[in-house]
Amino acid sequence: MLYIVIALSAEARAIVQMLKLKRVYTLPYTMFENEDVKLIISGMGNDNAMMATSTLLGHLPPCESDLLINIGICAAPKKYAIGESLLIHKITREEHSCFPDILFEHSLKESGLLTVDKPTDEEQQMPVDMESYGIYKAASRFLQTHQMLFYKVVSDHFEPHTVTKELAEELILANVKKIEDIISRAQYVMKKEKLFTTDEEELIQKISDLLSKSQSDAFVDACHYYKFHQKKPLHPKGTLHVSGIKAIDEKISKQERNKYFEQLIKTLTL
Amino acid sequence: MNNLSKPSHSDFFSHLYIEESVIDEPLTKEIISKFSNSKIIMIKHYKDVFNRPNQDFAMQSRSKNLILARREAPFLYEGSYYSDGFEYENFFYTPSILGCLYDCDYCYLSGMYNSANSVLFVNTDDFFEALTPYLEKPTLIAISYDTDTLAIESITSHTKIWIEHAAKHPNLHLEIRTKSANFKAIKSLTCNENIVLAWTLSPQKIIESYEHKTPSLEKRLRSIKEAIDAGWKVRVCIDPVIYNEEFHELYPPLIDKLFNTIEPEKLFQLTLGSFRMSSTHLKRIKKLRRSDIAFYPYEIKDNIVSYSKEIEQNILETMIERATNYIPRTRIRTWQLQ
Repeated sequence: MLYIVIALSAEARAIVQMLKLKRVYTLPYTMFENEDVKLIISGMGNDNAMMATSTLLGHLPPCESDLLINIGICAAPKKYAIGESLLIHKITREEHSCFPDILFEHSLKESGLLTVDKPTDEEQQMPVDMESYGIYKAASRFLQTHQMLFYKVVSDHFEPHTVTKELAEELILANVKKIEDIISRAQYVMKKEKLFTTDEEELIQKISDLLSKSQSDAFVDACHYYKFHQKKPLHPKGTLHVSGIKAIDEKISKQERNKYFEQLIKTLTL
Repeated sequence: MNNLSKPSHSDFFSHLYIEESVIDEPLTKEIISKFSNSKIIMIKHYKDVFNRPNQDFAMQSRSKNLILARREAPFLYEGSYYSDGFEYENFFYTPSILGCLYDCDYCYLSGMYNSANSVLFVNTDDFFEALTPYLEKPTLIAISYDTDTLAIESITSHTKIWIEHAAKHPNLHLEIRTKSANFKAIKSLTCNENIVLAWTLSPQKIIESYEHKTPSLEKRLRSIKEAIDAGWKVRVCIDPVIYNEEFHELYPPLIDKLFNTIEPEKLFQLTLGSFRMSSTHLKRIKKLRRSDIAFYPYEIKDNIVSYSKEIEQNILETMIERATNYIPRTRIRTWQLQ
């Protein structure tokens, strides 16, 4: 699943079109989705961003192959051109900083970012937004450091009065291809092969249910050992069990269970 | 979003995290100059990055980054129960680098640290100062416990700095343990009787399966030969032995190969030991779900996981029997669970 958090509807418009997302009404937020993507409009500001992110991820808890991206505009010093896109590797708010991991190659400029409470017309040393820190803080309860991306487009040089909805929409629209590319790159490095097939998972569950808790843990470990070591199917569909393990259906005595468990471990680890 | 075919970072250290307090240190500047393409991220304290919760060790291993920092006390730790102290009254290890460029599936570092990145402490003089009170007696310092210093030598010159320090202090003994093939990095330095270069060897098949990013057996053996020929004391560690159904085909021939490459009488010592680890570290390694090593049905005693007594005995007896064809038993050291 791809989770997208965006502060303003104007910033989201181009993304909604690019991904062909449909409006949904499951949460008290403006939300869009398709089969693989959930997009939430958080509203402006750190607290709103934190709450919306928490709500989204709490409602649909992510797994280890999921990715969250925050897309939005930011103010920046004059060395950054208006329209320039940035990938953020450090987010600071007051005295605290957090560090999303960027574990893939890309051609964007990377930067630190300061999250502040209000739009500012005071020149700062680095790009500034109002949401990223809150999003990171909320998302880091659910996601690992490499599962969070912060994509910013420079909208102004600390002249907030120049930033209109139209400008925000236009800046994101001009970046949709780059955003798509960054998401693909992040998802590529996160791809993990599944160790067990669905059939194997079912067999493991069925056998685990017959065992005590500690036996079940040891059995699951032994299945991992077998798969990594032998690199063979545990339970190929439609054939005999290559590993020699099979579930037994009938109720068994404690003594029989212990014997069965010993056989399982021996079969899988010898 | 379905056309996923982009590479991950191909080089080490795409990002350098640097503590504000060490930005002007000479070593920091030298490292920055070596990584001109890396992104530099200023940090307040190395733990803000290295100890972050929710890092993915396995994922970071594919794209390791470097953190430059200032170490605060303690600068020395007492030698670990899991390793040989060689009967020294003073036996310490230094945490002057945390994390390793190599990525071995059985390494306790992946069970100990949240991060696969490396931390280099650039204030080496503070480590030397902490050591001074102990140097009235022979003191053994293992400088590559939480890292492989020789593997990262071209970036840090760390091994060189320690060897040069040892040359000034006759009671300072060093053990420099490595899997690298990088003897050339210290080749120009003068040999020192008080320093042991300790190479860890494994059969090539084990290297390919579990010791990711490490040099091949052939390369390590060439490096060992060069070191011995240059007059250095070399200990070879076939430790940890990873036991499986191919043990007899893989490990005793490794001993033959070693002594076919080097003259047995020129090897200072051979260390043999089977895989063992704290059960706490193993639990964390299991969560990475990377290798069969984490999931073998080990025996647990006093918070240490190891092979059964029977297997451990079999490993040691087989290895000692083969090794004593070449060197006397007195030059073979073993680690066995008491």
